[in-house]
Amino acid sequence: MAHPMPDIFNPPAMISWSIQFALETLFSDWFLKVLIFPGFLQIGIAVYLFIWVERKLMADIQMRVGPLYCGRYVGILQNLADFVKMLFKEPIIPEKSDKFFFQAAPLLAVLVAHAPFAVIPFSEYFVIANTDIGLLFVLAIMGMFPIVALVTGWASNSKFPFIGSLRALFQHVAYEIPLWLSALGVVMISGTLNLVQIVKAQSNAWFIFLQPIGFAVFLVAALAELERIPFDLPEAEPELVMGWMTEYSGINFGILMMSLYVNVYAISALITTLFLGGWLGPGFLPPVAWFLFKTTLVVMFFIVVRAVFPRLRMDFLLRIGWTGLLGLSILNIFATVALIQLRILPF
Amino acid sequence: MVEPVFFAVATITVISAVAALEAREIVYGALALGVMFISVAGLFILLDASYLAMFQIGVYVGAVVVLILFTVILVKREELIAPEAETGGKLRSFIALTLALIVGSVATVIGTGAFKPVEVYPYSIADVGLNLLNNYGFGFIVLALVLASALIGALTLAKMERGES
Repeated sequence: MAHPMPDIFNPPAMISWSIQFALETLFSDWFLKVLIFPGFLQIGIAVYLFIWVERKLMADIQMRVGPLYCGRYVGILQNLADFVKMLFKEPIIPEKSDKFFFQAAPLLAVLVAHAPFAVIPFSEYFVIANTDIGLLFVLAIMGMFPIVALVTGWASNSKFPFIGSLRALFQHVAYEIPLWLSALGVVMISGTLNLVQIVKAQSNAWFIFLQPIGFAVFLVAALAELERIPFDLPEAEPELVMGWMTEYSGINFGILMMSLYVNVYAISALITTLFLGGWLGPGFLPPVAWFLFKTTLVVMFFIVVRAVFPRLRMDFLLRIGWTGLLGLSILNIFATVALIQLRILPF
Repeated sequence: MVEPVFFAVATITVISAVAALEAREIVYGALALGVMFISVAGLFILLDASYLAMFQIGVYVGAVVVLILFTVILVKREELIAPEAETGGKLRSFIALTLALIVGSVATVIGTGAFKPVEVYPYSIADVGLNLLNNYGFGFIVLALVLASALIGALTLAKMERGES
């Protein structure tokens, strides 16, 4: 048990401790962890809610209503309706496409999107694999995104997906280095790649305050890695129909879109772990609730950015990635090393 | 529990390596190479070299396979694949692979006394960094210079081509 029992005259802390105790007793086996809590069922529910929140929030910002009729004036069942619709649509496989990879690519996308959840800690107990290489594992898995885009575009054997996948490849490769370097600042302060230890090292001050430049660079690079607006060019609707996913329809398309949203959720959870203090927070909520709350904040930030900003042009996008962000992250590393040598960091 | 896992990972390594060399469609070969790199990372994990495994995935699968795929997809097919002139190529490669496996296993059996498992003590990323910079500092600097010269050479070649056309 990670937390000792609090004073009995402290009702909120007592209630949250007993909730935590009940959950940890229930999930005392890795199998249940993988299946339910930080595993597949939780990701499914979270992505379901995420897509609904995205549609409603973007609609609010754009002064319209969003999904309204499915499910009692709020549109909460809209995702279910879309999913059932996609199940019943015909998954068209183009005749000249590479049939094996055309059907295998969405599964590869799902694999690469779900993999980071194996190491991201939702609280000190709710982590599937508490390894000493957690952060490196997530970054290495994110390095496999370009392969997914490339294989999907190539297997479709058509012009729009091909150009879209090349653009996606350029974009991913350009923003991977600032991502790694801004995470390096966090590793330098906490001294470990273990995500649980990184969260524990933020007990005094969250890394967003100790590493503001690193946080900003990581946020922008993550937006580019996730292909969210304003880095939406591989999916540019007026130009490329749907980018590297053009030829997909039916359940293949559903799986690909879902893997994109799972990606966003995974990277939001990673940002929460690295910069926002993971599950740390005042005691009136269980740590898991703090983690989910912070991840929801990051996800909502991504949604607001999507609703507000226009799309960046390709050469501008690549130029920012290779020169601006790279320079900023190297500056961040130098500043961090200087502060560590002056004994100011770690707190 | 390690033994069946090792055999499974080793089988995947060998099969995907053979597929990478012998695939008719070169993109299949590049992707089989990616699978091979991931299974080699699995072998590293079985040997308790977790940092090495993660860098293997991040560098090889994340960068090298991406570059290979990128090159293969963009270059015209005729420039890459020579016409299939020789017959019996498959038989020759199968014989070569079998000989290599036999020689390898004989060597392993003979030299069993020499291959003792190495004592692995827990280490952190700080130890890796300190070791790299203190004990292998010279090689580190030489590698950095090689990378820098490769980068400058590539930029020069790109500039020359653009200047010509």
